[in-house]
Amino acid sequence: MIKTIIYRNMYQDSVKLMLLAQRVRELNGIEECSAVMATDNNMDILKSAGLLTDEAKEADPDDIIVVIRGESNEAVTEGEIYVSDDFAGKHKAELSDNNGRKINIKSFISAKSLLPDANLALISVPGKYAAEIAHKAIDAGINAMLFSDNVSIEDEVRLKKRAIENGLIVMGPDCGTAVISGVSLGFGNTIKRGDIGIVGASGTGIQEVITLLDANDLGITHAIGTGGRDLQPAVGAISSVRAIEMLGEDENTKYIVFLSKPADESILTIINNALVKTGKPSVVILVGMKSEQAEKKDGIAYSDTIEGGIKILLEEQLGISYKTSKYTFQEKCVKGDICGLYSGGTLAFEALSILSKETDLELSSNVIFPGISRTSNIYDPEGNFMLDLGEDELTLGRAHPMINPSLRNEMIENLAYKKNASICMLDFIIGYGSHADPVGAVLPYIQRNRKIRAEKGFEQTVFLAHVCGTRMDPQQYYRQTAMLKNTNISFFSSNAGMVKYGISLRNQSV
Amino acid sequence: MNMLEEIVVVNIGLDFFREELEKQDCRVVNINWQPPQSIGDGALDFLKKLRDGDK
Repeated sequence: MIKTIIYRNMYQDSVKLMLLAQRVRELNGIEECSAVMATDNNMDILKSAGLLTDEAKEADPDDIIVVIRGESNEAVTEGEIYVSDDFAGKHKAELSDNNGRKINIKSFISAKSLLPDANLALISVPGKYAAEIAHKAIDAGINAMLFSDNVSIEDEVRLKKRAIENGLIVMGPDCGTAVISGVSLGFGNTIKRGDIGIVGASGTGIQEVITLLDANDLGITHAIGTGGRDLQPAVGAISSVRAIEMLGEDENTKYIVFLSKPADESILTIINNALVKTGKPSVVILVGMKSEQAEKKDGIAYSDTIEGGIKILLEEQLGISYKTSKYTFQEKCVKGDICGLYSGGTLAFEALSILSKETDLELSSNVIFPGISRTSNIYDPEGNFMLDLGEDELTLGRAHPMINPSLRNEMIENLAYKKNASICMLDFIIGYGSHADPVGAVLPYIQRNRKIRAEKGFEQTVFLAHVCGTRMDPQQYYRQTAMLKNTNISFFSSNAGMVKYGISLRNQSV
Repeated sequence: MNMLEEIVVVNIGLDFFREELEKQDCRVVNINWQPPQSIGDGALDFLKKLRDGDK
């Protein structure tokens, strides 16, 4: 029994629809459920899932399509009622005033009447609407964090300049992570308060810095994201400089870590000058920069890896030893291919950087990296490859792999059929915004991979893991690592540690 | 108030983020946002004809 319901001229964001479909699938008697906006991409996804019914084909892009397949009419009807109730708001708490009347807030003016001291707008609407909303936030005297991507660079520059003129900051577009005043925004981690401030043009890069600080029992004041394009010459590091100034003025911040992918020399000079101006000990981490460029400038230390930067901060600036940890199963040496299935873009970038510096492996990737070729078929890659599964091309019509592990799970299963797949590196990003149990969601697929390989008589693939997150994150760091340990998977406190261990397993076999 | 002293958020878009902020006891208010309704070509032609006085 399959039923299609079209909700005309209605919008819900993709994450909400995905989570709704997931809840419906958990109802008794429901075999499959999909809930999507009826865009062309989503129609293709429904088709590949065998859910593109004749009724679904009639939907317009402004409509929501819900397709439910169940064992019986009753089960499907139950699912339909659940969806309708959800859209009617019956499954969530509504804001209400003192008389119990529902409050429907539609503007910054009404938002500010409710919270007069509101100081940050977290914007995650589709990109084409995001700039206009951010301008309205600035008009209302509110800083903006643009989680949305697909905002033009012209709009980005206009927004950032207007924010500065008004004594504010625009973080983003495409800013996925920040931790401000102890609160995680977007995808962020919980860490104790300390005296280290972070400015980063990379979401998972910030999360990795926080992970390594937490592993060394250190805390932060704030982690301010700027969006990946902030260091492009057209933008001129407007928000990075503003964020550095903010941490410079913040008396609780004693040390500053700045993190980005490599940038033009002129932009780096701007960053360097801003850090010098704060007078605070600082480290600049430029993931993937040439090692020979990693030297001190005007007292500011530079590193080409995140772990290297944190080590400098601890040992040279704080005067304490850097602690790293790993739990390995003393795997046998391997001769075959090494791959990385990453949900964190900067972690994939860092892996490419380390592998290209320390090995002569022929690598491919969907991440643009100097000297690395493009993976020819990203859905069925061969050889040595590092994939960022959060890249736009892989997230069309589905949530980011930090929320939805299904694509990576499929790839892990497919790896079972590749005889030469020797090492597979996985990052598990925990914290607010991420999947409730990222390791638990992947383990059944690793076990399936092992079973298939055993049946085929292939050598087992060595899975390596890095849990990116803190001991205070809601997914429970030690619970995640315990599951890895119980499944005989080696895990590492840093991404760099995992990659270097992978290299060592392969090098020993030469 | 400076957000580096206390952060108070207006969330627009993914309701999921509001839920995550509330779990952290962050003060947050959600703006109920919907994209502007698109208008079909037929209706647009009709409106243009009305504007141009050509019924």
